[in-house]
Amino acid sequence: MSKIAMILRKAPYGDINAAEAVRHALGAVSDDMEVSLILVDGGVLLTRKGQDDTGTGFTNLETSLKDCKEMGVEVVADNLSLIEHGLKEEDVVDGVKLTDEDAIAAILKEAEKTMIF
Amino acid sequence: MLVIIKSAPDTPEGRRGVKLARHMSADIVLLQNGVYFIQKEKLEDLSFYRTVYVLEEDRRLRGLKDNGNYKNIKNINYNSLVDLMGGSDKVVGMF
Repeated sequence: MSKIAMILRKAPYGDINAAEAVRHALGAVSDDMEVSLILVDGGVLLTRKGQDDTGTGFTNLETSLKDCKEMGVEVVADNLSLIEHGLKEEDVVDGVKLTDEDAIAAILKEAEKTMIF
Repeated sequence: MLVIIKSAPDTPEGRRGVKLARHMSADIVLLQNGVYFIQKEKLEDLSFYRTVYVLEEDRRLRGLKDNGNYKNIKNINYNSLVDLMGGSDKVVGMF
């Protein structure tokens, strides 16, 4: 099974990067690839609970992130970035692994392909 | 005077907009990723203490529940943003 890592650096909704990262992760895992979605910098804001898209017309990316996890995507968030962006553990949706840069480096070392958003 | 900010606090554009507003004694409007400025100490780090208008829809979308510890924050919707811009002598944006 081939391994792919996707790194998201941008906050959701401000531009298309977060939506594209989630879309590609879902696509890859549906094609039986082993997918790690790595959230760093503003990308960690994707994990914030309580995203309310009522009346906005946006796709709710909190729901999409949950879909990713249910389909088997490993979702990892960088601890330092969480602190920088004011997120505490209780603010983060369930099932996201909070980790450090060494663990992220290990994932990237294993992955055959890495996509950066 | 009103400065409109759409960029996140971790971007040079966003921080430049807040600094300009401070120097020009202007109020700011936060929309899109600019709403992240209402998180912990972001505006205090830039010594901004004037009125902050936050577009409610963008804040809710990003899961930001309350106004942090700022007393000078006012939630607005799109219509009141238009009124604000119409009523301001000078509007600069979007950073």
